[in-house]
Amino acid sequence: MISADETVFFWINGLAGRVDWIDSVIRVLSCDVFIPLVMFGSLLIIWFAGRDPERRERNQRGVLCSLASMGLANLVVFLLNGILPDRMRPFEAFPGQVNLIFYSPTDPSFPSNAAAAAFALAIGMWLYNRRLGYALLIPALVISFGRIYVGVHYPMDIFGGFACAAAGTIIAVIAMKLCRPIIDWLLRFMRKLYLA
Amino acid sequence: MDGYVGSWTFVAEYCGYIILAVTGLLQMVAARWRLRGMAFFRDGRWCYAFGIIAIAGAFAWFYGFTGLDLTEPTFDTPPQLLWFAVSVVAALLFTLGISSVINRRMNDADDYIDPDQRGIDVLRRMTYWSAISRNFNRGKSK
Repeated sequence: MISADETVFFWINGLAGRVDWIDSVIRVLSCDVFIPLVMFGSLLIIWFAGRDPERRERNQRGVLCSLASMGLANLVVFLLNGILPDRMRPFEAFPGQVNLIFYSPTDPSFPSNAAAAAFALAIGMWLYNRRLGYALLIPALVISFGRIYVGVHYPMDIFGGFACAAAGTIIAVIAMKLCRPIIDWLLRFMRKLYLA
Repeated sequence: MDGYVGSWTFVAEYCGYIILAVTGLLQMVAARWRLRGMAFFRDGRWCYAFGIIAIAGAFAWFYGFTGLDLTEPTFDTPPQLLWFAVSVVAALLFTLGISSVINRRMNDADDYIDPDQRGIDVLRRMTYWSAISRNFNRGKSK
């Protein structure tokens, strides 16, 4: 009996292994060292962006919210992994039927940690700047699709990661409101160092 | 391959990749927001060119010419975040240091920094080193 989740997984993963160069590109896009650099690099640009100090400060608060959301989303994933029964990775559940063109992760499949981190960065920024938030959603969607394509996640793992990202962002927003004096101090301190 | 990913060679290559890419990015930032005190070149177009070459070079080198094999695991998240943060700080310090040396002659005009106007905008008219040292000297003279 194959669920809808697994059907969609096999449909996407079935695209892998046909064209070598597409596999290579998606393997790079799915790895742990490419999209994270793209997203953190984008946050670095956003940190400096803004026509006037007010807009720049808003962007900088967005960057801090994104980073806090990412950290908290990963914490939510970590806690869920301790509570939920481990879901096997697709290549473990269907040995020999999955086009695995990536390394074999050993942690639980649900929820996707990579998707949680990437979506948290995007949602955290979206709360402060819609346009930049949508821009950051693109790499988040790319790494999410890539993880299914290379055979290490089901689509539902990605939705789980998105939910963790949303939960992490909600906690981050509350934490940032509670810690507003600390955030204000941090930004003032960075401005004194000519770094904000 | 596990040996390579766990080795200092991989850490050094990963840090080199991040430092090169972030240095390139910071030059593009300097050009875009006219932060002359942070730029390696007077002409913004050269900063953009440097940035594009550094970023493309970093990606091409790291994915094409190191021992990286994407069918094997890379870092766990905590060490990756640690080395990423270390590399970003290193790239920032490198950029601010080198640009302060290259642009050391640009601080001859009005060098007063209004305390209310502090922030990265100061880097439009002076280097990071001069801004920090003036701040420090004023603090000492109070």
